[in-house]
Amino acid sequence: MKKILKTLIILLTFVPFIINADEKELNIYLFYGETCPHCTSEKEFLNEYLKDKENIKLHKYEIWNNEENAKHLKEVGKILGNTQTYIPYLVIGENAIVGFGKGLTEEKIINTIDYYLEVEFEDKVGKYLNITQDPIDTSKDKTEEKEPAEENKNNTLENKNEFDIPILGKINAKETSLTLLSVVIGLVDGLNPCAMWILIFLISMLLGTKNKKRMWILGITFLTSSALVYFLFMISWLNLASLLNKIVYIRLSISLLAILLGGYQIFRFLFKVAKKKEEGCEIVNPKGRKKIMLSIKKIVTEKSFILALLGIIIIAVSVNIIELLCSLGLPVMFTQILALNDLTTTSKMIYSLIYVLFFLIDDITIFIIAMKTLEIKAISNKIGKYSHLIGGVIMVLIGFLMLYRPDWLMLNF
Amino acid sequence: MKIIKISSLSCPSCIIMNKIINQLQNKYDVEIENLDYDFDDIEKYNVGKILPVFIFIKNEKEITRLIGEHKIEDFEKIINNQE
Repeated sequence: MKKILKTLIILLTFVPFIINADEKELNIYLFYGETCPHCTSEKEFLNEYLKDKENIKLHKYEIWNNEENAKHLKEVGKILGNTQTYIPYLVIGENAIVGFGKGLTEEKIINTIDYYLEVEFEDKVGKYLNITQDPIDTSKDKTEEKEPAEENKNNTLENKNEFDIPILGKINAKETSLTLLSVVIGLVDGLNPCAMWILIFLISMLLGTKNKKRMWILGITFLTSSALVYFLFMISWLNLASLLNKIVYIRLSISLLAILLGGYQIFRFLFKVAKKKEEGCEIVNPKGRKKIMLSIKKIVTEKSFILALLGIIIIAVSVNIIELLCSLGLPVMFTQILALNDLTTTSKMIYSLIYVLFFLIDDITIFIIAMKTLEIKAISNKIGKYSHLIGGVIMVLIGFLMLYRPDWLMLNF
Repeated sequence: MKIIKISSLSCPSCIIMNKIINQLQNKYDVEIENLDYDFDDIEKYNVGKILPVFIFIKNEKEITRLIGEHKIEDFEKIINNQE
């Protein structure tokens, strides 16, 4: 207990340093044309938004009546690695937001400002425009010509995230990384033996009925309902996380909690699980599990198919809600990463679906094998126990990154 | 020799051990008594929190027990020592 308190005190010592990040000054640069209507809308929005934000300074450059400013815009485009320099052209940190649509671009601007208020970066544009110190030499063209994308063709962040890989072609590093993260964290979460026992028991009961059609339908319904509960939980948490992440203290609390929980899991593995001589199924709450088992038994042997189907949905939903507590850490951390990234609702749903699919992949495999061979194959607890260790390491890692390098979790390469 | 196997239909380790018990039965003259942790009366066997449990009985007395997942060699060692 003393050790935990000590760790907390050490971690909390660094908290003011992180919170101070919000007080950081940020220069942003807007290139516009005098009579351009979108530029006027953007100026109006920025003036209103920045009214009470003294730490953010807006520098404006009119380019239609000022040749020097027009040249500046071209140079700024080169500095940011973006040759498409249409107006309005707003530079925030190392990112350029080109164009402005009312109700469309505001959130992106706010998110980008929030992001650059938190991370350290070199204000190359500010240096070039002599706003900040050490003007840089722009004679060296450090950028490569890139083909414009269909949408957001001038968004440097998106262009920077694309890489040319032989055979595979152009790969978006952010999308690929998020897909990989969904697969890996989903798999590790799925190997957690917490909820596996319910599926194993259900399959044992189903095999006893000897009605193949009924077995398939009830099993698939159980797995689908489980997936739906997990998916709904992730989407709800994702929506909540998007809101809560804006409050620095809540985000910090989640990060600290992840470090503590992950640390506890690693500690538990190293000093308890790894030292344990007996490797098998750990029985937790025998009375509760007996109740669940009796319900499953009753449902499987229910004569009315409709009632059995309804029963299996109810049991899957209730059991998964209870078992969710067992593996809460990883899905919460995963949704935190999704919330940190500026993703569309569809993208968030797709990544959550990939996560859930891989979370259930071992269950699906065990179920299909059992239905095909009428024999249950199980994953040894020797393997399952490592999921706690890997899960713990992932949680600690994400927790620290959320605290000290949230920009790494935004997966901009 | 008799082995009392206490397992559960919900336990992956018990399923894994089924194969080993079958191999053991084919190789040795052992009687296996299957008991279900959840539905049979197993109180008298003083089972802990880890399943499966294999209790080795000879002359109606418990010789030893194996708990959790084990290799067939671990069982063979006990059986051979008693023969």
